[in-house]
Amino acid sequence: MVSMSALHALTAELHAGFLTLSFICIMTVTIAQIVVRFRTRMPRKFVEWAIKVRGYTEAAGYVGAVLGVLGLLLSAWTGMYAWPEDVLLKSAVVRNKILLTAFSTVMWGGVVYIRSRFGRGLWTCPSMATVYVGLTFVAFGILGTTGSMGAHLVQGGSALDPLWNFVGFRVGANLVLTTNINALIAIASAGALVIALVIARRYDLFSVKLGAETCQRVFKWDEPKIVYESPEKK
Amino acid sequence: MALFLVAVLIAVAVLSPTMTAYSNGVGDSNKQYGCSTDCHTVQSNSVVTMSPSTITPTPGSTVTVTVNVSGGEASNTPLGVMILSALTTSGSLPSDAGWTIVSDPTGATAYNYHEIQTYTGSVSWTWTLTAPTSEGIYTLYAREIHGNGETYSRDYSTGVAFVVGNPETPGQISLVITSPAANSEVSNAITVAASMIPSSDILYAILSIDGVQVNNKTDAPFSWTIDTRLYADGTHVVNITATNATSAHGYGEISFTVNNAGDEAKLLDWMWTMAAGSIAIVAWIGVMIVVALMIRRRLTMKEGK
Repeated sequence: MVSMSALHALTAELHAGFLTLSFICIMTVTIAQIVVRFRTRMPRKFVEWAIKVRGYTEAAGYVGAVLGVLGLLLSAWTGMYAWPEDVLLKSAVVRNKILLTAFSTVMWGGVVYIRSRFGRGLWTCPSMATVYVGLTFVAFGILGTTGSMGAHLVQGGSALDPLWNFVGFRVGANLVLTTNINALIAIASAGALVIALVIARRYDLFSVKLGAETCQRVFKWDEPKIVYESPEKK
Repeated sequence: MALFLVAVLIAVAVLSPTMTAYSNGVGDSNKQYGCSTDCHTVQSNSVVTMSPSTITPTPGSTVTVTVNVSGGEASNTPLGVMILSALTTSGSLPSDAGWTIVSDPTGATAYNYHEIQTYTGSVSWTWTLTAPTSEGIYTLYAREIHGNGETYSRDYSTGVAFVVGNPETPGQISLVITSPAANSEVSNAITVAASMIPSSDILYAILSIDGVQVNNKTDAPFSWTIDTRLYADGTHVVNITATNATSAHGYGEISFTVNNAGDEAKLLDWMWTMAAGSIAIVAWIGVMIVVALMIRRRLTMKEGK
């Protein structure tokens, strides 16, 4: 019978692979979008390459994020059974890893939500693209940190240790806040969300569709469609 | 702005893995256990074991003690190991208990603490000592310390009990409780273990906590797993009584402190942090989406005019 530790290692590789792919793809689309937006100042070959690449990487980034989130959930499940509960929750490093994995899952869930809700058209709206890319960047950073903690548990150290030493981050320190601070954060955040939703309702933002029709003419940002040949060649 | 700062920090985290570590070794020396000059308070996940050449030396005879360390958080960074006669902040040098270190792992000096600058996953170091000249039962312990992101340490708190000379009173068993360490703080499940000399023909060994019999064993190993959550937080007394086939008796007693409330409070705070953090992330993603849509709306309207 396959041990849960082995399965956890497998699912960890799975989600890390998918989410890394997604991160690389989304960053590639970002660069490609900038290149295409400023096409008049860029070499023509470079622009042609960007137009071709962004369509495929945009789709791959979305698929990678969806599968990565599923992989994260699967990893969390296998991780719960990989070690006895006492061992799991006794170590500060394990607790930190679980905590940051939960945060990372929520953030990647946010990435998937934004892309699902607004579609490919989000790239035509600079402010929404900034939120999308920024969230991806932070989510990937948190994921990398959890990976470093996993390496500490399995190998006793990680490639990021010099960085943690440099910035003074203690992998084994308890990343916990007091109950009062936690309550304050939760209430303030929920309050901010309620206010945001009220504003969204007032200005009818729930029905907004982002795309060539609503954004592109104003912001001059292209939609990253899959093209077989660049428009210049047609 | 906050998002930007976090992004910059993470960018540094992702793009700067080649920065140089700060080395914090102190070199070989005689070191007491604990915080005289350097606190290593975070429990490492390394494995520390000790193996002696004999546990029944004659007074003043030579004994070698090998300390093995494997795993842990150190990776190409300094790691040091010390052998000790007690897990207390003073009086913990082997010499304090009558031992004399003849040579340390270097072979050239006689310190109780030895260190290397580049630990690569495991070490096995041997100290040569002469046993105390007085008969009795003496215990040696080992402790490894290292850094690499945290001030880690790991004790071999079980220790190795040496019976020097022939301290046995005829008709008695020398019994030493080797785990947990006397006066240590414990939580969750712990192992209570005893070593007995002579260890053969033990008829029974009774484990009692606070005067209440917990278990009775008739065969080695004489160790028990105890769930400390069944006991109130505070100091408890554990004792073990043994009897062998010749009706000899042995008795050992130590105190330890249970502190499960601290662990539970920490766990509860951790769960609250996870819940509050997740709520905050969901909320702020929602807020950012609304802000992005508002910016788009304003710019679209401006453009329309």
